[in-house]
Amino acid sequence: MPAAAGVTRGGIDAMISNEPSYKERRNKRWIAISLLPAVALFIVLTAFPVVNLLALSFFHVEWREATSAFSFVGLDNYHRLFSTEKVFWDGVRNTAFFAVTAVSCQMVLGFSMALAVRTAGSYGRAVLTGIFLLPIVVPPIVIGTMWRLIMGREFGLANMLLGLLGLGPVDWLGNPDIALASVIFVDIWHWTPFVFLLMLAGLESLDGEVIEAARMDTRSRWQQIRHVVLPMMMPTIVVTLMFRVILSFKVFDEVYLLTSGGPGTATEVVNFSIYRTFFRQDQVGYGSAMSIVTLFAISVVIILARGFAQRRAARRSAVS
Amino acid sequence: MTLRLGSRILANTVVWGYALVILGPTLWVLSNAFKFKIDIITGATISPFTWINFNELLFSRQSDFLANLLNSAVIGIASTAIVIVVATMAAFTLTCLDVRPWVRWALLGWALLFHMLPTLTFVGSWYLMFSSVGLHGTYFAVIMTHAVHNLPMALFLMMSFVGALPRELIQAARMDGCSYGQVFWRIAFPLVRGGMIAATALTFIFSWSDFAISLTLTSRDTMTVPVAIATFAQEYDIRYGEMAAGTLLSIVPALLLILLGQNFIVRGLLAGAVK
Amino acid sequence: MADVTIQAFQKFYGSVEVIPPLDLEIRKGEFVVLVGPSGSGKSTLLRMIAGLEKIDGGKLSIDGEDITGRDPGDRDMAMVFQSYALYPHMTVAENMTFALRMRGTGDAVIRERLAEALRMLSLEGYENRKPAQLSGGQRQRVAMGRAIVRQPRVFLFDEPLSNLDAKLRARTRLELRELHDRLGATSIFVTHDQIEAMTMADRIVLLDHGRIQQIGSPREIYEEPHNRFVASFIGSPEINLLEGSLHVDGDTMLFNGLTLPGRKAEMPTGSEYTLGIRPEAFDVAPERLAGTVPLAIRAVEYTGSDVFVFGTIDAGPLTVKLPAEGHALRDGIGAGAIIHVRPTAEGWHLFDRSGLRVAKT
Repeated sequence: MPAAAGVTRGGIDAMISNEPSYKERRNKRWIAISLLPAVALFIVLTAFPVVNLLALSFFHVEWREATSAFSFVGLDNYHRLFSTEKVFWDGVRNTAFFAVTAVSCQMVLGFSMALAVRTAGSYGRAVLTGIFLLPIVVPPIVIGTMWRLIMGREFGLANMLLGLLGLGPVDWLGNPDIALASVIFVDIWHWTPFVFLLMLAGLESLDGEVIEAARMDTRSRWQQIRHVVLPMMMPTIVVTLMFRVILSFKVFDEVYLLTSGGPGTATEVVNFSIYRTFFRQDQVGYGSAMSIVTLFAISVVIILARGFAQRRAARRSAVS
Repeated sequence: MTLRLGSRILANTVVWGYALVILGPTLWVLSNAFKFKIDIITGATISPFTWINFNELLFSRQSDFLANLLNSAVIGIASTAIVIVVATMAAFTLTCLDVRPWVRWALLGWALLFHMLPTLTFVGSWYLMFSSVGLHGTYFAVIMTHAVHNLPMALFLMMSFVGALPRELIQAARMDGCSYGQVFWRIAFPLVRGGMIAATALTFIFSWSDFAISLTLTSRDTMTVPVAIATFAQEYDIRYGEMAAGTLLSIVPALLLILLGQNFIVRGLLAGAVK
Repeated sequence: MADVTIQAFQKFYGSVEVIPPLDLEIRKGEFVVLVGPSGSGKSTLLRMIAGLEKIDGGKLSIDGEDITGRDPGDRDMAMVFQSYALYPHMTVAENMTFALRMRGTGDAVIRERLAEALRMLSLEGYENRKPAQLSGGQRQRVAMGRAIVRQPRVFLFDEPLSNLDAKLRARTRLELRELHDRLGATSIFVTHDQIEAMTMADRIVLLDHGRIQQIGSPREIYEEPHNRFVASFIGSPEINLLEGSLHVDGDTMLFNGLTLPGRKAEMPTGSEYTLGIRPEAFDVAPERLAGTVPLAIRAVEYTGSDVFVFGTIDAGPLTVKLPAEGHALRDGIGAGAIIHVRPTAEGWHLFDRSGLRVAKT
């Protein structure tokens, strides 16, 4: 801190000299007031819970006579998680498969549609955008119930339509071989419009003259797309991809409603495992261990991905 | 020239086809809200129109749906109010003022990280925390958790709105002698009101739509709409009609939002994604 | 290199006709400049030639071959864009060879042409840089190199110098024209800057609201403008335009008090003429002489090589240029002083009510 009163630090105060220190104190107070609520919320409700979970993961918790009894078990929970646990790892596998499949389908579909709309123009753009926004703002649990109704074995729309065509009913949600595919289908239905909107925005932000130059340099649309549009869209694509992948690890609502993780472990996902362990099986210590492992793994992925994206961006703009 | 027209028709077919894929199932489900149960089960497309499901849902003894609607509204409004105030002030400070880089980096970095972590992992700990102080099932618990859950998105969104203000405006205010607080109240706040409305709408929608937190932190008295709907689906004798009716009612906020401000939503989602 | 023939070009935006039927012939090896104010349709016209804008009516032929409906990539034309439009993700070399690679040209040919172009544009050593690492002037040259390498039938330029600073612009003007000459190219160049048009063109096509106002060499456009618009668009500072009436008295013609010397045709006496005189078309004297009128000076601009005097005469405001060298009046004139001026014999034009020039002989 500069010693003399009236001498200011950098930033926008640099233009103004000789500020009375009273003002400085007022300013510092403002910074505190404006940032503290957010910081407090984060610390109390996000940082502290993580610490809490970590601590609990070393315990076995039992409810005896309306109070909880803690018995220290060291790394037992972790040991169990990595050796005898089966359901959770099925869930990890499913979640990974789910993420990769669903997201790649959404990206291809969304990008193609955006490309088609951008180049050919569309009718009723406003209405279209409105309809496309529906899946995003509708509560996910509602999407789950909707598709539960549609894919229901007995009275669902899907099987009714199949019946009209003379085909037999399919147990979309009860057949272990199909169930995961059904869930993935719902996710694709849910998020493709989002990808579409992002891709469209990205395409519209491209420099028009560069695209015109490509039209003059190339012999076919495909050449234009492959050599010019796609490379220029890479930053947007990568960001959307990362966002969707990480978001797909948060899937819970739809699975809860559609299949509750069943049949068997066909649609088990990580979040559901944690939910069940914590709230249906009351294994708080074990659930905490699961949570910690999940948090750690995903955090690593996120940080690596951001680092990768940033290094890529830095390399692009290199020396300007 | 005809090739151009042809590809235009093709593109529109694909895109509007998808729009149909979105609308079709939605409308079918919603139409069930107005049918008798027998018609739903037999899959009759043309069937007598009835309000019975809504009656059952809202006014019967067995259903608390009206209370659920109220709960969702209360929680939504309260948590959104908190989020908007906190996010706008913080966004202003982080964007326009001289703040130590590590503070900005830590706060935003953590916000981003938290935003992307699965909510379920935190819910368990929240449950324990609130239970141990006897706050489980209270409005307070759900409101606060909703607030922190939606804070990152609101923060990023408001930062983009505040960042769009011309720097010179802030500098001029400083030259005129305003303290930080005065700059906020007199200059920044009035000018980002539009952005605040957008952020408010989006935050409310996400609070309204929340399931994971409400499922675990509410009690029977404070149950919210999404949890109620899920409950219908869990029963052995699925109450299709009421479920559809509840679904329709729960979509109302979303529909309103789309009708009134598409641009806001897209911008909000972009802000969350691009960050 | 090729001839370009434009017949009855028409363009509509919705129901608005932005370019009424227009004909233009460009000869092989010519450097034609399309010039006009913003919104005159010059860029639209260029883009129609390139194939980037649809041709709503009319025909486009190159060397007699009808290419009206063709894809932009199939017209064998290369374009230099105002913003250069370099592919940001490709290096200089990749940018310049992109079109050739898309056409499957042989590697040896590509390498040869690339080396030649790099040399011509002094870009050797920059092959592996990306556009973001280049200065504005370098990017402009890469954009030109991209066009040169293709060895097209026609070069199209869309205000390529607008984004350069003044000094660089002057230098690049010269280089561009030299390049055109060296390659024996056919070039169509669009600009809003009349100085660029005058200094670079073999022929100028002046456009306003989609209509051709005049086609001619720079000299023709300057000395024999077809109408008011052409006269006032070309020339800096702008030509003086005075509204008034003409009074013919035997051999003398008087316009609002100004004596107009020189040959005259059968110009009827009347009002509603506009007199156009360029600033340099005046004789200037410190005292009254035969045929002069007094000019009250409001402001003086000294550019080093010229002196421009802004003032008023009875007939209206007037700008007069004094050559800086050896003029007795140069020192000592300033705001408030009075000098005496009269038009020279060759330097004035009369425009009738519709703006058309009335012939002098």
